[in-house]
Amino acid sequence: MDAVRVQNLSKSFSSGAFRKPTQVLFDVSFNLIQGRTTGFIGGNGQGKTTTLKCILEFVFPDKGEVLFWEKNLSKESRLKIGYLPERPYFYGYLTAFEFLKLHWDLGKSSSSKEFKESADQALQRVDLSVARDLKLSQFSKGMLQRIGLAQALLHKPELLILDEPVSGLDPDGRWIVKEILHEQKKMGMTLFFSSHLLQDMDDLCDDLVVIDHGRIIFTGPTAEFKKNHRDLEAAFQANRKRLSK
Amino acid sequence: MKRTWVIARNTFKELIREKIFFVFAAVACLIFLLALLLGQLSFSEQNKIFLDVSFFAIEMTMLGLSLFLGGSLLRREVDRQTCLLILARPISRFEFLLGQLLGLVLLQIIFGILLHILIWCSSGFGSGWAHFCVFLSIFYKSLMVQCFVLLLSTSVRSSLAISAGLVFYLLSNALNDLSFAAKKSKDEFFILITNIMGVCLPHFDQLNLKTSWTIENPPHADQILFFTLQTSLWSIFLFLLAYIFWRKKDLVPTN
Repeated sequence: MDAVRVQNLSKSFSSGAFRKPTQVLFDVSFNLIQGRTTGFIGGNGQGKTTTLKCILEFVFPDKGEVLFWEKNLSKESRLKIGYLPERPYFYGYLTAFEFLKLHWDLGKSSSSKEFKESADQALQRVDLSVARDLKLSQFSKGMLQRIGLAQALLHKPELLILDEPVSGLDPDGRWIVKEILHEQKKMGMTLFFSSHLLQDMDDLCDDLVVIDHGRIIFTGPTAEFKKNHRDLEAAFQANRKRLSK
Repeated sequence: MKRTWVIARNTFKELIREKIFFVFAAVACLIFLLALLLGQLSFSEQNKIFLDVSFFAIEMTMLGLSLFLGGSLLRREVDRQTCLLILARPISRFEFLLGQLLGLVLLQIIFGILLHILIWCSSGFGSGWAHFCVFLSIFYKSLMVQCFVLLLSTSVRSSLAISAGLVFYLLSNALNDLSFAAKKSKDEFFILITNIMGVCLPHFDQLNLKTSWTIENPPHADQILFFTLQTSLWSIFLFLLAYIFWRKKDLVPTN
């Protein structure tokens, strides 16, 4: 079963009232299979973030549609989705615990005992239990990325969408985030994340979606993409030139 | 409604930490002290001068908060992309927009009431009802300006929304004067323009209760009820227009 079905997304942006719009997505289509980890590969400015924003309706496509579990995006389906944007900015005056409470309160209504349990669990999972009462303004970049992940995992979602979750992190930070993603993968969660760090993709992803200049040039199992190449890096370089033609 | 309240509470917490809020609070306190001093200089009108200057200070600072905080409310959320994390949760854009507005309204109410209590105590505990009417008249004006600025900030840059908000406030305040000047000039185009403005803008001149005269002659409850109804209709209309633009807005930061 497909957790997400993206069909023929096209999007243009106009940079001014009298300027010609620039098309950034061209008939983008792919599926995310339930329970599998899918990586979204592409260079900077190729349309990864715009695609993710279109999927979650932060940006409205000119054409195309996105289905979550065969239905349009609704409040019910949002309850089953965890999301972390690229370079998230957090309200610095909140503590880690208050930040999680804010996001918990925006979800389904439940008891404060249930929240405490879930928050402690999420903080433990991202190794931030000691920073529970620390203000987010005092967090390092790696810690912010992890608290962002904790927020995304708080409601025990079925689908996790992450935009560049390891970009800008030091090796330790990257390792921790990757460990968390591995753990979620083992638990059977559907993961979809974008990155241009191909080594991370190679370790984690069952499937790949490759985008180049706003067009999907490959979608399918990682093994198929890597066929006849020593690693994902080499496969990406070789395939991108061939498939873009 | 619960989610809207969560957003409102968070917006309030955020706005109360804004530097611009402290600047306006400091300005209000300075003018308030100035009003006390000016009152002392007068021979027999201490209380009148104190009240007039203090009410002016409240209106200006509440207008400033409406313009500067209201104009940057949505733009900041979009530019920092904080709204993405919030809107990824099961919350509609309507609830988000309403929550943002309510957060600012809450700040204005607390700020305005605190200043009014200060004035009420300093002026010798006059009629509570009269002071309340003055507060309402100032609050209603700032609420309408706030909704107007919010509407514009869904589509244009903050600076433009703030400038247009100021023009909206000035024109709405001067409708009577403009209409009078148009009639005197006998210029048909000028008369037409003022007639159109009379229909398209709220009449702030009717809400000018921020004088010591109001304290001595407080308005009747039915008059206040009329103002409340008028303000509610204008605010709802402007808010719904803002929602129409916000509903399908692409949440991408400005370059």
